[in-house]
Amino acid sequence: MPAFDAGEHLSGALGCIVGQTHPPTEVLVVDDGSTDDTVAIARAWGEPVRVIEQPTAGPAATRNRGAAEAAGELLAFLDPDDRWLPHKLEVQVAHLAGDPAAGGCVSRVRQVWTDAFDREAAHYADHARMAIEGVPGYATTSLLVRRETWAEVGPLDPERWYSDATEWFARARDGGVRIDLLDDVLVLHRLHGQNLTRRRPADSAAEFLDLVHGRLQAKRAGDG
Amino acid sequence: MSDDIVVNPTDVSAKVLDGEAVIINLSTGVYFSASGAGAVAWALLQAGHDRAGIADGVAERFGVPADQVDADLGPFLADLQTHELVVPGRPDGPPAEVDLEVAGSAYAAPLLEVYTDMSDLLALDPPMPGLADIPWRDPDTGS
Repeated sequence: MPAFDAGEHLSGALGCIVGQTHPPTEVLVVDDGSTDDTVAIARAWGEPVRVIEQPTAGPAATRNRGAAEAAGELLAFLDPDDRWLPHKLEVQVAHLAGDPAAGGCVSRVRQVWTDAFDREAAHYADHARMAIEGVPGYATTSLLVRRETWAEVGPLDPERWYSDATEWFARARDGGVRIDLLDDVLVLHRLHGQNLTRRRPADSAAEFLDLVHGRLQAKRAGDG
Repeated sequence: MSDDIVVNPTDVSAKVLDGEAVIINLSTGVYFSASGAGAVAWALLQAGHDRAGIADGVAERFGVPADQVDADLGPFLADLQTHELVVPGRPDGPPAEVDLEVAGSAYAAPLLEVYTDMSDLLALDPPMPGLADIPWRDPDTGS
């Protein structure tokens, strides 16, 4: 779990991890230079939670650190402000066990609006992608991936603060790696004032535009 | 279609990069490219020009008759509307300055290229430009 000033949300997130019907063998909290009580809260959990501290390097670098330090054969990520439903790992582990050719899987994700974002919810109530029950969850927070697949695709681009997951999934797809989308809603994505993708919309938009521009250029190079 | 159109203010993120208009419809996850005259036309549209202003700007940039450009603009603007990249409306104020040197020199009718290969990947996490006015606490500054 990548964590930056996540004290408010951390215990809820750790609770939904250790409470999984298929609990993980280890839980790594990588603290990215928090200034709040994130580290103290994480340390208080004890086993199986292990805390790693680093100077602030950004969310992608923090997720990469966790993946590099993890010992298991399957890797999963959870942002502190999101929540896994109790059977998230069980369903995904069973899927990968039954399909050795799949490199990983994501689930659908339900967007959960907080009270402070009633205005946002109203704004997007008729929004095509928000209206459906679960949004395709191509995000690290719904991913379960084999360790060897992670190594094959390579780590997240640490320079990307907003579009790191999108770029990773695109890279995996381009490399012929199959990441299956499960129909189940297994993750809640909580929208509130500190979501990284909405904290700095201009920076976020620039990153996604840069990503799409890069893909357009790559397509032309491939066509040429 | 009406000549009074503006860039979809809530669902579209776009920028001209290396002479190419790169446009994402955040509602559908579909992205688009327009080069040459299309990039200039998009830049003019985004700057708040109406159809006549776009035609004049493109004609000036490429040295072709404005009526020819206007005829070519019809299908292009219709495509933009089909993909909900523009909506009916009038710009708030006078058009902004546009750097017309964004594209190459040869004129060809503006064309909108459509790409759907990222739509699922962009479903969850796209930026939302329409929410820019919502204040929030920035952990870096505490403000």
